[in-house]
Amino acid sequence: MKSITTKVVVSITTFVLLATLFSNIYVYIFFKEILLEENLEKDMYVLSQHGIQLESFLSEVRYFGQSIILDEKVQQFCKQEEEIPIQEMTNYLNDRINRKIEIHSAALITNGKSYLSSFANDEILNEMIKQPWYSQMIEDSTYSDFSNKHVLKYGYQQPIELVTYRMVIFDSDNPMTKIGELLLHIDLQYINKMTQQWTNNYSTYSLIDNNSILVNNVAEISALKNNSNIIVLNNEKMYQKIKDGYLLYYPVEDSNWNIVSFVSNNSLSGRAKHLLLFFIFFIPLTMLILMWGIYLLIFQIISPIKKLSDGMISFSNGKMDSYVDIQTNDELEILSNNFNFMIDQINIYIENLVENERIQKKVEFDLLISKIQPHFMYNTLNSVIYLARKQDNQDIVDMVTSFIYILQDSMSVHNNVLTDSVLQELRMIKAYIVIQNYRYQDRIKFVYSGVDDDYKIPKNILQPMVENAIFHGIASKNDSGNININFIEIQDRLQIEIVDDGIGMDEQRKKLVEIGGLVSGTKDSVHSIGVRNVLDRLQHLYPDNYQFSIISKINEGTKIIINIPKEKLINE
Amino acid sequence: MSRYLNSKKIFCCALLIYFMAITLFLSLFQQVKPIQQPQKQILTIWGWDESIVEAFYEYQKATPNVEIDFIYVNEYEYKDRINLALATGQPLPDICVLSNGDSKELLSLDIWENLEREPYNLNRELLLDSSISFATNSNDEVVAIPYEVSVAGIAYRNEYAKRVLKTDNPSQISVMFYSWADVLSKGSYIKQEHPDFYMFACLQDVATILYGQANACYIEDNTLVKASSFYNYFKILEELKYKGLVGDIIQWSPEWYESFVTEQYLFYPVALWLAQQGVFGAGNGGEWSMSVPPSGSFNWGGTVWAIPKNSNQKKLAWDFTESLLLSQAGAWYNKNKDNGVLINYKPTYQHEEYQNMYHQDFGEQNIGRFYFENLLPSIKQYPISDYDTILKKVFFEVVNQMNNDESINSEQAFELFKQNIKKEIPSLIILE
Repeated sequence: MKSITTKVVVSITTFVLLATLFSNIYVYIFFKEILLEENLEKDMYVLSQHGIQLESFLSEVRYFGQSIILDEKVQQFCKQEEEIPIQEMTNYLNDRINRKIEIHSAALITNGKSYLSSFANDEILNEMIKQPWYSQMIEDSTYSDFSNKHVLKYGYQQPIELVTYRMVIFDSDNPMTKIGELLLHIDLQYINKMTQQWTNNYSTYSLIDNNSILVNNVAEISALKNNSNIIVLNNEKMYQKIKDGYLLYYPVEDSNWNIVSFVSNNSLSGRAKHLLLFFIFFIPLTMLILMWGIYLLIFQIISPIKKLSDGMISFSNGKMDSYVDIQTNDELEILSNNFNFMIDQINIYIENLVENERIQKKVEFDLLISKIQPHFMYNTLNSVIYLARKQDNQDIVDMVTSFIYILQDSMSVHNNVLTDSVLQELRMIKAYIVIQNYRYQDRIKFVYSGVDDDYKIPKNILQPMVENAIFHGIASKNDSGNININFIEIQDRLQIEIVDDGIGMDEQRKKLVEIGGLVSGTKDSVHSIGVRNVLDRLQHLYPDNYQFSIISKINEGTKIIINIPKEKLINE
Repeated sequence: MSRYLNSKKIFCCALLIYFMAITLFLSLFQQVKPIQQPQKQILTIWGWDESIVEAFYEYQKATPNVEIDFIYVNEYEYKDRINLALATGQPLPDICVLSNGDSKELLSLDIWENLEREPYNLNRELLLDSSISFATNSNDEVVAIPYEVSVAGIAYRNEYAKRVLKTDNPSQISVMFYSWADVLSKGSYIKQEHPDFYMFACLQDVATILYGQANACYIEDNTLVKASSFYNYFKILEELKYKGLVGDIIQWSPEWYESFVTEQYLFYPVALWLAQQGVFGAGNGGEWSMSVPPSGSFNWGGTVWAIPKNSNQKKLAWDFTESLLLSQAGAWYNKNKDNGVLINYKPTYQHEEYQNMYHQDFGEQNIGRFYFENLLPSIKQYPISDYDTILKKVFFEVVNQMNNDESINSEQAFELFKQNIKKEIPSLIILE
C-alpha cells in the first residue's frame, strides 16, 4: 500500500515535471529560433559591412578609371589631336597602374588598336581581348561593366585570374562621341585576399557573378546551383538554408556580383550552445529542486493525515490514549478533534460496558449467595406442614405454605430469571403479606389493582418496596396500615405505584432512598435486596428508560412510583 | 517535526545554492573573457616576399609571444610608400625590405639604425664582400643586412644548347662565350646554321647582365664617371639586335615568361630568387643548367633589411634579422626551404656541405657549389651611389626604346640616355 504522501507527490511532481519539461523544450526551441535569427541577422550585418568594403574598392576602381579616361593626355591620345608616342602613353599608363597593386594591367583601346599599360607589344596580353569574355562585354553594350572571370597564363607562372572593368571613353568636349575604351584588369588574387581577411571561425566568403564563381572559399556554394549548374539566388530573403548551415548573400552595388557567405549550423549553434547547455543544466536541476520543494510542501499538508492514520492504527491496536494533536486550522484539525472525541466516547462506552458487566455479575453473585439448598428446605417445610395439619394448626400451615411459595420464587431468581409476570410477583407478595401479618397481627392490608393483562416486570422489585413499606412505614405506626399496588398503563409504559399509609419520611430521607443510599435490607429482609439493588436492576434491564420516584409525607404515607416500559408477557 | 524542520533548512540551503549556480552558470556564458594572455609583441614588416612570413613562423616556435604583421607592399611602390609615410608622419614598419636597386637612395636617408653600433655591434666581416655595398649608406655605415646573394649568372636549356652549341657543359659554354665579343662573333656563326636561333630573349635581359657587371662606381661625387661604358652597352645591344641574336619581347612580360616554355632563346639571366619563382619549371625538371655569363657574373636583384630609428620593436626586429640572416641556423633554413636561397652570411660558407645546393629545375648540377666556385669569385664589387636607381631606370628606358624602335642605333641611344639622365639629375656631370 502506498502512502498518500507518495501518491500525491508522485502525481503532482509528474505533472509539474512534464509541464516544466515541455515548457522548457518549447522555450528552448523558441529562443533557439530567435537566437538563430539574431545570429543570422548579425551575420547579415557583418556581410553587408564586407559588401560595403568591396563596393568601396570597386568605387575606387571606377574613380581611378574615370581619372584616366578624363585625363587630358589620354583624351588627346585617343583623339589623336597630338602625336603622343606610344611609349610615352605606355609609360604613363604604367606609372598610374603600378601604384594600384590590385590592378594587374590596363589596356587602352582606340582607333582599332590596343595599347597596354606595360609590355606594349606583348602578344599574350594583346590576345586577351580576343577571348570570349571581351566579346561578351561588347555584346552587353553598357558604358561600364565587369567582365566574367578570365585567366591569364604564361610560362610556368601560376595562372592569374582576372576580372576586367571596362569603361567607354567619351570625348570630354563632345560627350556623345566615343573615342576609345579603357580596360582595367583586376587581379582576383587581391580580392581573394580581401575575402580571406573577412574569414573567421564562423563564416567563409565567396564572390560570384551571374555565371561563375570569381573567388571561392565556400565549398557549400554548389548548393546554390540548379540542374543546369547555374547559381540561383533567392532575392527575397537574402539567405538560404542548406544542409549544413546557411548561405547568406549580399548583392554588390553597381555590379553583377554577389558576396556569398557560409555560416555552418555548428557555428550558429556553437554560439547558441551555451543556451542548450544552460537548458541541459537548468532543467534537471530545476526538476530536482521542484521535486524536493513539492515533497516538502505536500508533506507539510498531508502529514496530519498520516498522524491521523497512525493514531487510528494505534487505537485499533488497543492503545486507548492514541490522541492526535493536529493544529492546522483546517478540515484536518476538525477531523482530529472529532477523532479524539470519538476516542473519548468509546472509552466512556467501554467503561460503562465494564460497569454494567460488573453490576450484572454482582447481581448474579448477590442472587447466588442467597441461594439455599432447595430440596432440604422443601422437605423440612413440608414436614412442618404435615405436623401442623396433624395438629390441626392452620396458621402454621398457611405460614409455611406461604414461606414455601416464597422459597420457590427465590429459586427462580437463583436460576437467573430476572423478570417475571406481574401475577407471579403479586402471588409472591401475597405470600409475604400472609407471613408478615402473622408477625404484625393482621395489621397489614394489601390491595392491588389495574391488572388486566399480565406484564413482564423485573423480578423482586415489588417485594422490597412492600417490605420497606411494612418495616419503615406501617410497623412504626401503632395502627394497621394499607399497602396498595396499582398498575397503570400509560401508552407504552407501565407505571407501578406502591402506596402505603405509613408514617412517611422526611424530604432528606426520601432523597436518600430515591438514590438507593440506604443500607439494603435489614436482618428481617427476605433477600438482601435494597432499593439500591432495585435501582441497579432497573438500570440494567431498562438502561436510562425507567423512572423511580418517591412521594412521601410525614404521617401520611409514602408512594413509590416505578415507571418502566410496558412488556406483555408472551406465553411460551 | 524536527526532522521536517531540518529538511526545510536543507531545502532552503539547496535553493540558495541552486540560484547561485544558475547565476554563475549564466554569467560564465556571458562573453567569457579569455584568460589574460601575456601581451604579444607584434613585428611589422613591409614587403612583397611572403616567404618571410613562413620564416617568421619558424622563428616563432623558439620565441613565443611574438606575432608578425606582414603588409604587402609592391616592390615598385615601396619607395613611394616610404616617402609618403615620412611626409605624413606615419610610422614605418619595424623592418623595411628594400630592393638592392633602391637601397642606396633610401639607405642614405638618416632614418635607419646604424647596425655597427650598440646594441647591434654588427661585424661587417660576417657579410660577403659583394653584398656590403648594398647595405651601407653614403657614409659607408652598415644600416641594413643583405638577404639573398644577388650574384647572378646565365641559365640555358640543355637540349637547346646541345643542339646549337653541340655541348651543354657549363664550363665549356663559359669558355665558349668568355666575353661579349665571343657572343657576337660566335653567335653570328650559330645564327647562320640555325636561322631561328636567338642568344637572348630581349635587350633588357642583356642590359641586365651588362649593367650589373660594372667593376667601378657609375656615379662618384655627382659625376657620371666613364659614361662611355654605357656607350659600350648600347653598342653591344645594337649589335645583338642587328645580328638577330636577340628577341624583341619585353623582360617580365607574359611573352617573356612564356618563352621559357618554348625553345626559342638560349640564355637567360638567372639568380636564385628567379629560380625560386619557378620560371625554369619545365616538364620533368633538370632541363636547365647555369653557366658564367660573358665577362663574368653580375649583380642582380636581392634585398636588404633595414630597421627604422622610430621602430618600437627594434630588439625584436634585430633578433629576427639575426636569426634569419646572420646565423648558421638561418643560413641552413634559407638553403633548405622550398626554392632555397643562399644568404650573405660568410661563416656559413666555411662548411663545405653548405656549398652544396641542388635545384630540381637544374637537375644534377650542384648550383650551390657553382655559385661558390664560379659566380662569387668573378663578381665585381663597386660602391653604389645614391643616383644608381635613377641611372638604372633611365638606362633601361632607353633600352626599352631600342627594343620598341628598330631605328634607334647605339649613338642615338647613348645620346638619348645622356639627355634623359640630365633631365633627371640636372646637376650630374657626365664624363665621357
